[in-house]
Amino acid sequence: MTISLASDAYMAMVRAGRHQDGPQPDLPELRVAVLGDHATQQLVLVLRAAILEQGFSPAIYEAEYATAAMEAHDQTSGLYAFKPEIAFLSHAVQKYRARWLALTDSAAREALPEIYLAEVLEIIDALSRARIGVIASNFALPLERMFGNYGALTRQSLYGSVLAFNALLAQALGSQRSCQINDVMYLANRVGAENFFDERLWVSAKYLCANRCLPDIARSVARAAAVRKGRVTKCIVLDLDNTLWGGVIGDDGMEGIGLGGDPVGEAFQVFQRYLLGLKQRGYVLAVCSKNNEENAMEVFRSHPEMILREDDIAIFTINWNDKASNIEYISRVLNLGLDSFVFVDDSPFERELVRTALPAVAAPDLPEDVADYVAALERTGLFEAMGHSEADAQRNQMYREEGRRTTEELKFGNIDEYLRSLDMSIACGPFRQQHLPRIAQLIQRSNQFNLCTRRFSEADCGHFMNDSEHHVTVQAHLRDKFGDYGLISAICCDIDDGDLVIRELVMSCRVLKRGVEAFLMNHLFRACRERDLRGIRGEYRTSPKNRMVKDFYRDFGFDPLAGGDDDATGWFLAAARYPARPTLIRQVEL
Amino acid sequence: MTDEMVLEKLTEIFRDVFFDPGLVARPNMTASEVERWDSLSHIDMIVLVEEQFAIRFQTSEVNRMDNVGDLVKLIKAKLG
Repeated sequence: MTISLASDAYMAMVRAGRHQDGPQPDLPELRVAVLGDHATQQLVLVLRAAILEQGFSPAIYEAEYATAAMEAHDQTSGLYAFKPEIAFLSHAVQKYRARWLALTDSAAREALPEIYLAEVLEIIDALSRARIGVIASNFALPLERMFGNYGALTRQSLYGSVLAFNALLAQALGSQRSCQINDVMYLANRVGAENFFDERLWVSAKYLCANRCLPDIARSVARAAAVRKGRVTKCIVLDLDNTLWGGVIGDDGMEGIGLGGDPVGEAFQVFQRYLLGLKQRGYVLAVCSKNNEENAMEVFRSHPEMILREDDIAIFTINWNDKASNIEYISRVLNLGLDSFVFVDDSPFERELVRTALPAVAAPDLPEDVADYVAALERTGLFEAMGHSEADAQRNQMYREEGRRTTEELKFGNIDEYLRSLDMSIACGPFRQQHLPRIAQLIQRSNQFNLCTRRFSEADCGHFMNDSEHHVTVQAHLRDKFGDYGLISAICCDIDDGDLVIRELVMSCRVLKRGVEAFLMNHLFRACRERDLRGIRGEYRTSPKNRMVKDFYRDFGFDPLAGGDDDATGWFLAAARYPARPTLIRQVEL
Repeated sequence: MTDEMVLEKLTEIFRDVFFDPGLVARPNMTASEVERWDSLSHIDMIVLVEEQFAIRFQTSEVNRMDNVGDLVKLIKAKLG
């Protein structure tokens, strides 16, 4: 695939960044502080455009040149006055190079990666304590090896020293999920270091890299920020003919389609393996194809070269309906929002149709050649994640079960009868250490059934868990006869002034309308009585997506507290006034 | 390529980079006369000139330019 190195894309983003004057009232705001040890003016313009591309109205604070440490350690700094949600820490490897070159003895050079890392982590920690989400860059790998190939093996080479730093940074951030990485090493590698660096621009104006590479950096940061705000994709909808295999199954038949065998057929297999990898890392795969269903299913069931099998797909919609309708159907059956969908189809016509009918669905362009599909999809940044958990690999299976439940639901005339037939059980109790990654992930990913959208990190959840004198936590796992839903709800509460105060309550939308909410509320009031608390105080904080739980507290009989407004309302209900709600869910041991 | 042709192309680039649709590149024009011509937008301008004329400036040439006339001379010299 050819990547244009001309600055057209860069200039287009500079123009867009300049034109964005002031907030965009129809978009949610994203407040970002940019802290760089290089010139950041142009990067800020481009970042503004990249944030707009992600559907947010950018508000950007640009710190003075190389003042990250000062700003972060000074509570009265402009940075904290600005109240950013996210701080983007951008480090130039040229600065690291200067430090490294200033060291003359080999022991000091050996130690530089750790020393530099400690300085960076101090900044990150200060920002994290202020509840600012940090996106920290690693370094582009420099061209200076000094030892040739051996440079990769020794910290006495600048190249080897930077390799060591990047590895240490990855290790440090991997265990601290409140901080995301901006992988400049990857971005520079993608265009090639000789294209990425422009030493003339560094010495002339402290320009981080060739300006045409700034869009990649800005888009990477904007995408990471969007994911922090809950804009994760969850479901990939796949076309079949010329997307998963070459040719048309209806015309060419099982023997005629291109899959394995020749180079093109092998390229389709490589693409299918990539999709399988995405499934294993937590994506739900669905099929949407205009075909005769029997012919197409036969490929999944018995084509010897097929990589994706029937079990790998959560739901098939193979018919002659228009694809937008099919995607809406998939969204309903799986109970996944359209804005978490990625539509992969080789046909520009179908992509355009879906973009027009369902603007929330991402329908990235695919190149002509299947061998370029993976690189093109990687470039979109749509698969950005903040972490991963053991449950990810099971997610597709859970949605397969969900599809079967929805089908079964249609058979029952009466909802209680249907719920009883599901034979549901919930295992719940306080947070457990081994479940913290999944708990934090649920808090990050839940948009609709999310009462406060506080986005507590894994570290925050650990804090709630460890201080059980002042906090109550609940994690809940649901099972039914079709299978295990896994961890479907997380609740963080304070104990304050004799009340149980719900600071955050999230639930997976997959388990709506099954009585899980009532089960959880019963559980919370039981905790209330066990600890002799007066009652439960809760808060509903409006987000663009959580209208569904607007009346959550009212429906359970809570009274609104004075002083609320459109964005946040407080609620209270005394434990003595709450009658336990009937549910069709058994409680089992966690 | 004549001076006029070079200036015409520069005018287009200047309008874009310095964000002023009324700018006209003149030989005696200097950076201080143009509101948004700072050290960073200067770099953008230089890179665009390189791409538009398919030339490459040396580091010493990136910042050493007293006025637009110098730039025109430099471009013409590089075009040969």
